[in-house]
Amino acid sequence: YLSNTSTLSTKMAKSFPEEVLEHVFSFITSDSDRNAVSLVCKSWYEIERWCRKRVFVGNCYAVSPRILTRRFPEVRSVEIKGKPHFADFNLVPEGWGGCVYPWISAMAGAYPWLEEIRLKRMVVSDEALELISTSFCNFKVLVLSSCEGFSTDGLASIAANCRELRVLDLRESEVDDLSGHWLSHFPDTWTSLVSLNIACLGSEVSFSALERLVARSPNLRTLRLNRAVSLEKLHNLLCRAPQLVEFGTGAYSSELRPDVFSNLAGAFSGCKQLKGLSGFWDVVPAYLPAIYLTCSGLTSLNLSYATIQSPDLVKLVSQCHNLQRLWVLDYIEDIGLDALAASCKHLQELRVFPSDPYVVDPNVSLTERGLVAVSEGCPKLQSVLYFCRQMSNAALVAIARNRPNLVCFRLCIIEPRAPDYLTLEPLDAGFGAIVEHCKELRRLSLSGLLTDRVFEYIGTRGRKLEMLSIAFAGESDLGLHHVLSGCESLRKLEIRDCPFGDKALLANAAKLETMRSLWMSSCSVSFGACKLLGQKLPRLNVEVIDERGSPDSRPESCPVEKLYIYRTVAGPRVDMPPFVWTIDEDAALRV
Amino acid sequence: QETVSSNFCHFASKNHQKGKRYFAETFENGGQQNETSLVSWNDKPNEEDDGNGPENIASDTINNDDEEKNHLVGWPPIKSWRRKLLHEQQGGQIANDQVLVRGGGRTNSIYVKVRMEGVGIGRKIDLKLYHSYQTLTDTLISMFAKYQKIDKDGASYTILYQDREGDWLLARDVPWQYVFSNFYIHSCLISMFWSIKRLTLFRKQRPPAI
Repeated sequence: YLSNTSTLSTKMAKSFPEEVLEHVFSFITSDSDRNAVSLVCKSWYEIERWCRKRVFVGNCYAVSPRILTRRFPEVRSVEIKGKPHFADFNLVPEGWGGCVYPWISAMAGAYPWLEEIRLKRMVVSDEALELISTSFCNFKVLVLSSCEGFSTDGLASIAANCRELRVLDLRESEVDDLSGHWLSHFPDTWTSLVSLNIACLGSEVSFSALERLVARSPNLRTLRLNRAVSLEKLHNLLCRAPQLVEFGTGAYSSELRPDVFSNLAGAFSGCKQLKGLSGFWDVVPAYLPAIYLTCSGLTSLNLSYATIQSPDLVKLVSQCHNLQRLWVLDYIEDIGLDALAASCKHLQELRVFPSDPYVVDPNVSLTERGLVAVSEGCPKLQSVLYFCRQMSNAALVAIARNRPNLVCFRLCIIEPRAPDYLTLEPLDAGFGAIVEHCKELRRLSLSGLLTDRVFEYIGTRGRKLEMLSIAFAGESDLGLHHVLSGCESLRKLEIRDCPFGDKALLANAAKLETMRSLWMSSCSVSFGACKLLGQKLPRLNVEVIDERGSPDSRPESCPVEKLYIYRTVAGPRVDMPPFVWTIDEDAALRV
Repeated sequence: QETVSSNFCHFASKNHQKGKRYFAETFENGGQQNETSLVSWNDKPNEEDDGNGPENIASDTINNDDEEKNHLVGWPPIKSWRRKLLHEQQGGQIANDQVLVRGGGRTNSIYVKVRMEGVGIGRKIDLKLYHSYQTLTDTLISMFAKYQKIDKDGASYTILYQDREGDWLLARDVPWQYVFSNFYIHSCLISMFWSIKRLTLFRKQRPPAI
């Protein structure tokens, strides 16, 4: 029986009971592993597709709802992303697309047992929300990240109809805030809420409704309030939910009154499990000590709306010895970052946002020195987002040498094309050091004065780089060519205002099929090149976004305003607005 | 420094007859004030400095407040909701000398720019967060203490402001609750308070030895 192992393995592959395989597959959770499993053989493909419970769609136009529901009939959890990342910075015109309704409509029929929907940068209408609330009886999780198109009416449907709701997270979405009454639509007896994030809402919600909701939700672990919730009332909520793990305040200001302070401090100290704090709009520094007792337990602190100055920030941060994640405004200054480096040895992620980004001159004393200090003092630092006004190659080299474990490095020097402020040279060497030393780097955003040389470094050394953002950089097509011909792991490339044209794109056209997407705006790619790409690569959608009217009305050599190229199995979009053109196989222009 | 005092004396004498209490009266040696810091407070953060007043600030550029760089769309790369917040914090728009009431349920923030002579770093603070001159002074002192050796004792500093006519006036003459209360925004005194252009932190003169 065991004489011929190859026969045996074939026999086993064919006769192994499906149920066993299914059970084995249930331990495989990563999407890429699942995809690999499905490619082994036809029967594994079949088994796998029937038991896949969770699907991630990185680009809503890469696949259609029908393809999804046909292949995976038993999905319980879906995550879909819509607009390209640069939509966050107003580079994608209004009405571009990313509407979720067709997906909800398809899933309403195919997945009655759907439990989770996570959307990012999608247009979500009230109708879509209502459809969600009535189609999935077991619906548990709704996360809308940077979405838009819905109002509090849509939220009311969710609140009223989703009896099993555990998570309602509206992070950073733009909501048409008609009134705060939607919160009262949650049924009075219902208690399964675990996470509620309404920080992005502008208007006041009924505080008593909020209070009652919190009181009836013993499983509540995350509560992020909006700015309209006043400080004086906060202790009422905290006292009703001492089991909170993450809490976001509203406006953190009030007249200085001892009773308000002591109530607040008492309430905070009662929350023994608190690990994360956020909110902190309009901070009155005198009220900060109310959270001091929670500091030693905090792993996550988001002070990125707090306009407090570095002395107060230092006092706070110096007590947070277990801090892993800090988001803060540049009011922290170099001196505050020194304190951070000295006190927070477990820091993994740092984001420093600009308090006054539209002014040329610095309004705070935050320079490259702060980041260097943190890179020296925080051995676990792996993710950085840093806005500053000056940088040097020396500093970047130091950071790279200090922190080879960096996974995400996003540097924004506010003035475009700013050189090394000490030597006035380009920052090629500095960023080159980053990609050389940080071998696990997956995400990189460049800024400052950069020649084609930096792209040579990135192309050859950025082997694990998956996402690259480029702005106001490079000298010629050679720069883009270095990236497209290297960077084996590149999935997303976004470029603005760079002198990159047709040559590099056409020479590396095949690369585009190995990536999720390419965005180029204010570059020099001609319409003719776009047509050529669209013709030659049928598995790509080559979309031109141009608000000046049809590209046919201009010479072919004319550069397009914006270009979005992505791989897809769904064919050309059917919902394009008038300013988006695609080229089909006949090189005919399609709107 | 000479320019400062000469400007100051000029204004002081010019407007003496208007019955305002001037720096010259407040301090023993009218022209010899021991000015240790200059802080400018601009309630129209995007407006170019009009040039009347102590101008020997370290760099011209700190008064040259660029308007929001709308020339470059989407740069610096900041998400739209964060941009909106910053926009608010830059003081928003002040039209017809009235502060526009922003947003339902939110207090009117009054963001003003504060600068210090010899230091090219300015600050923005929200005056609405301070409930007395003392807290404002304390905050300004702690803000600038790192740039200049400042006596931490708040009592040796006082706050002056320059009104629309360029006169330096003692801020404490106006009770704090009237300066920023909504009542006064709508009253006839609006022209006096909302034309405030510069806030100056001066060290009080030591009494002359007797």
